[in-house]
Amino acid sequence: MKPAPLRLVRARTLDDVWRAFAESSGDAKAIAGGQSLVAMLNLRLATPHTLIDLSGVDDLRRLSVSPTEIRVGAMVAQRTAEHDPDLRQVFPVMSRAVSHIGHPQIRSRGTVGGNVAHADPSSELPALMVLVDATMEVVGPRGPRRIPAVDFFQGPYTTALGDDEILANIVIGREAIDRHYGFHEIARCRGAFAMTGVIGSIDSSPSSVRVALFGVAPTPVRVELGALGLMESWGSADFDRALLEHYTEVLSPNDDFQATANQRLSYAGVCTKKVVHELVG
Amino acid sequence: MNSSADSPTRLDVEMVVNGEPVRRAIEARTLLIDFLRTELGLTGTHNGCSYGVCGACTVLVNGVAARSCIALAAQLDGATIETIESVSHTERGQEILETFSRCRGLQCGFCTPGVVMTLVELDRRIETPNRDEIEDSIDGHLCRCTGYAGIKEAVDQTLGRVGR
Amino acid sequence: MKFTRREDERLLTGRGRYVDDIDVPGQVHIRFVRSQVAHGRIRKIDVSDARALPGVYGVWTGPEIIDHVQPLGPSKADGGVFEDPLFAVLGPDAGFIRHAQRPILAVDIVRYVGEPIVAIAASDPYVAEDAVSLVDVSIDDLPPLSDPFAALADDAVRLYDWPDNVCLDLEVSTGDVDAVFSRAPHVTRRQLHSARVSCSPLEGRGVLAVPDVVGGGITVYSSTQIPHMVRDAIAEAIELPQRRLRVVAPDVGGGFGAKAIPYPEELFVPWVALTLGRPVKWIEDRYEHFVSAIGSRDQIHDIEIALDHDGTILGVRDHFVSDVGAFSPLGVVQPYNTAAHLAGCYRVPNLKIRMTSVVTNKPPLSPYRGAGRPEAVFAMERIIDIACREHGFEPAEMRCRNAITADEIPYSVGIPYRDGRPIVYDSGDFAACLEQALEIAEIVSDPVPDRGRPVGFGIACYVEGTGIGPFESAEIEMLEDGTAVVATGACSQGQSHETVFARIAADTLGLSEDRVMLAGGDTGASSFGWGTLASRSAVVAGSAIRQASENIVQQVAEELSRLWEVSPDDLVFADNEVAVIGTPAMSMSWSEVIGLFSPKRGRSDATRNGLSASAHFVPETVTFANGAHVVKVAVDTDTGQVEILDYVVVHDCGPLLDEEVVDGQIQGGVAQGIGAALFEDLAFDVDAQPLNPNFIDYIIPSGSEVPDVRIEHFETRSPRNPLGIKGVGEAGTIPVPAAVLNAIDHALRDRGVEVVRTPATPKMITTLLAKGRPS
Ligand code: FES
Ligand code: FES
Repeated sequence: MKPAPLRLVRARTLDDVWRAFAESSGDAKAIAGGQSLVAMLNLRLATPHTLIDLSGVDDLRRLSVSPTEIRVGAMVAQRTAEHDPDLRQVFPVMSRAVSHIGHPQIRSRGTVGGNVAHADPSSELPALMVLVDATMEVVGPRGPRRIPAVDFFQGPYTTALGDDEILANIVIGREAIDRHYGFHEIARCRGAFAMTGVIGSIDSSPSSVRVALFGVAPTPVRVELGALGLMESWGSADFDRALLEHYTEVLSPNDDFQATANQRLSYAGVCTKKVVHELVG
Repeated sequence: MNSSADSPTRLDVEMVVNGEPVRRAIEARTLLIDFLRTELGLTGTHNGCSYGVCGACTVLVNGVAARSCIALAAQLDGATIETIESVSHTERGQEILETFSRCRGLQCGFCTPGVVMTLVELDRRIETPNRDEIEDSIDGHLCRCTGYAGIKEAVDQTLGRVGR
Repeated sequence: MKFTRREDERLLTGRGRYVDDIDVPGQVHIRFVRSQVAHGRIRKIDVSDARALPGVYGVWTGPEIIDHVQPLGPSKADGGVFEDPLFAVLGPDAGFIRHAQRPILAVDIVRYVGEPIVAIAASDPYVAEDAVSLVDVSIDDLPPLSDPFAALADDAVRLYDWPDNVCLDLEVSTGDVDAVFSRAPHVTRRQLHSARVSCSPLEGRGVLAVPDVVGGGITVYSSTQIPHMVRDAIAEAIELPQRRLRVVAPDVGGGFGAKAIPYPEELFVPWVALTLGRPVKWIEDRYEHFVSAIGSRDQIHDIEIALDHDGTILGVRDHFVSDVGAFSPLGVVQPYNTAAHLAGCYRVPNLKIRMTSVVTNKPPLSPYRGAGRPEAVFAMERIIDIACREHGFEPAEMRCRNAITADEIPYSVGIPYRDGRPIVYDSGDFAACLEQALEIAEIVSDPVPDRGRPVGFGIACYVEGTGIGPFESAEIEMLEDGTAVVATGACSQGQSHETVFARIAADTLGLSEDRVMLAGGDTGASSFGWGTLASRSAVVAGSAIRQASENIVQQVAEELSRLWEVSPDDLVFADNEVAVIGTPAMSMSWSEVIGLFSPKRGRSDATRNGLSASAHFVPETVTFANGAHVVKVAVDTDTGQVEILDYVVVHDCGPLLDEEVVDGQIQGGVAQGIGAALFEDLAFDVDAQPLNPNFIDYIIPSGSEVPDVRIEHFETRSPRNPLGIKGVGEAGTIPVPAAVLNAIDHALRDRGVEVVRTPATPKMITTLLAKGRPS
């Protein structure tokens, strides 16, 4: 359980990053906090020729929070996002979602961008990104791109990032900031990967309720509960029935060691109800 | 840019470890835990899994608890590292160690250095961590011996019975 | 700084010495290429690239070393010390046992994923792993055996040159079971399965072998529970005289059974060290622990119980199958322990148990904390609850009715223990112990839900034969400065031996504890020893230390009573001196006393050899600890998640040597039991590929999953050792899966759910709830 031989380039600027990508003949990987990547190196599940260390690139560490826009640099530590007083006040769901990633000892080095770009289907932040229509600011040698979260996540551990691109910032807009949020996930035990989870939001009326689910499909799934008319039956057995019907259609949960597909489907319902309850009572 | 740009498989790193400045040329792939244990002979930090789950390798990086098994030493150029070997250097640290012993927070002692480092960080925070954070932090450590009762007691006695 | 246990200072300041902490100049590191195929024939091994890698010192395959390092076997790690007397007592018709040889590195055939095939020595662990990835092994698949029942089929592939895949088939009985079952008013029968689990001490295995600078010998540091047995096994495997071999267990980061047998790696590493003439180290990684250290439990019981009209147990009939994987290093131990403890706390006048151990293509199986007893208690206590529900008895009341009381002690069960001696419970009041637990737990038959979740209580009782022989050693040497060195074969993996054992010697000798040094687990310090396993150390090593200390006291008393012309009975040993009672002028410090025995100043032949004593405590048989657990759980029927609301243990291990150490053993044992009850399941697919050999999918409970256990002690003295004590190392673990699953069933009493397999995961519970009927 030791990494294979590798080169490490300690980048200070984005130009360093592009240069390193260009010099690496296609087998380079950016490393952020490394909380998933180094584990994979240890297991030799990943054997990149070159690692480009982003931790020295100050441009990627900025966190700016205003009531109209939140910009989280990819290299902002998860613990920072979790505890930042402004972020907690303006957009508390972020800190709540982050607090479910591993344990504090992981979140200290783990970064927001690293987690998002890892695109683990059972992870919280990708679902939050999809729920809030976050914009992924991506940079690469050919210039910056802005990718909507829904298009960013393309499959398990697969994103729209090109081989020589990195995620630079996550941008969350006013509309999302003004909404109220609910969160619920089910894991085998605290800090373990979620079997299923749901994040939901509302602006004023129940017809605006939407949720994003994780752990139940290759990528996060957003469902407009309000717009679909599902909220009309909230509180009655019809809601459960209609929800299950819809989820059966749009989710594609896996059978695996921890949970069956059916169990995940039913967990999706359980989590959704908890979240909707939190949103509308 | 890195100091040995011509050969990034070997890099220079400088850190302050337990108060001492250290400088070494290391292989780029060297894990922080191996840097501490093998390069510096600080064997109090233990490896129980190599993938970030068990917590035995926990040290403080720039004052914050982190896993040394999933950190590349070369990524930590300029960092300040604290390991179990430094805890007894302060009076407060000694108190924490005594509390751990008194509360029977350890049996075999293999998980213990990691747990203690987590506790040192919690104890040092300016704002008292809340119950939830404390539990989350302790859940970041596997102990196969004690069943956690003694560890929880030591944590409570050190931090005060926050939220109990 | 002030520390409670003597070991704490070094362990808390980062100065513990676990085997990987010991670095010797010039050492090289071993990594193994392990099979990724469960069953197959090795066609070709290409190690040329690995050999050519700079930094590689050696590469070995099975055929290259077979003549130099003998395979382990015939699978009798304990030398058949118990197996032979047991079979002698049971008689030739009771059954048979077969032993397979366990190769050091596979030759021709691989039999489980994780079996070592090639070994590589390199300058550091990184390079060794680089070399591992350069080895090319081609294996032709053979049909894998992933299920013991499939392995029993007539047309199943044979793992060994045997007529079938059975390595143990044994029957033991008392009374007339079949007759009782044919006329019993109530009979209940189920299949009950204790899943395979991993011991998972936080420190894995590890070996460092260091050739002596002079003399051609070798010192082996091993993370083991049994240094003396390891010494014997190495000596035999590489044909080294014992005197040239010293095995030391340094600080050991937990064992729980995983380190209680000699392993192939342990025999191989010293041979490499002698071959290369260099120190050689091998440190197991977590993946290797899951696939190559022993797994345990893995028993499927087909058990039935016969009850009278009033709930009195008339008889129990059980046939259980153990899936022992490719090798069963301790053969009869685990299954026979299950049989010996099946009746447990209850009067079972008619009992018939058949045990069948089957080889499959999983990693080897051997005892883990509890060693067959958790499986027995799971079968017995679950069938009791299921029968009570089926026939309308109250589980608590039914148990009290059947539990053995103090006035029935000594109670004879009617079958032999695994040392061949009859099982006779020597102490305890099982019924009173249970009643106390029920009272503390405030058990009710219809508990109110907890925040909408149904709540249930579960009970499980157990007896445990502890302090098994054949012996344990203690050697005490008094040094001229008035201190004592105590050596024993029992070593510590966290059981606080340095503290507890030193205290036994200190108390007897009247020395302060800081003047007693314990040398445990070092074959250089005591030539005989057995080891720390099977809840035996406090009983057997503690007793040996007591005996050796008493022997020292006696030698001193004889000498001083002659010198001072007083009766030996008038001497007091206290406060680091020996004095005549009521005569303060007549006293002597320990260092002066020892001076009397020094070869420099000895006054007679008898006192010129220094002052020392050795004792070997040889128990006549085991002594029985017992206890009762009552647990209260809430089950979330939406998610299948179980929360433990309360956990009560009443335990009888006799007088307490150190209450906090005992409580720590119980609390830690319960935590492992909760793991087995709710989380831990070392699973394999149909190709016998491990599904979860990591801490992510194999979940070990963390702090939030383990409650603070409420522990009470019920003390009855054992008549079988001078301390009156009974072992406690395993007890906490034994009844937990049974108690927790009983509680889950109780909570789900209105939902037709019956949990028949550990662990009760959300996946299992939601599946059962969806079906709404017994699985
Ligand atoms: S060794 Fe680092 S978390 Fe286990
Ligand atoms: S004390 Fe042994 S693992 Fe915690």
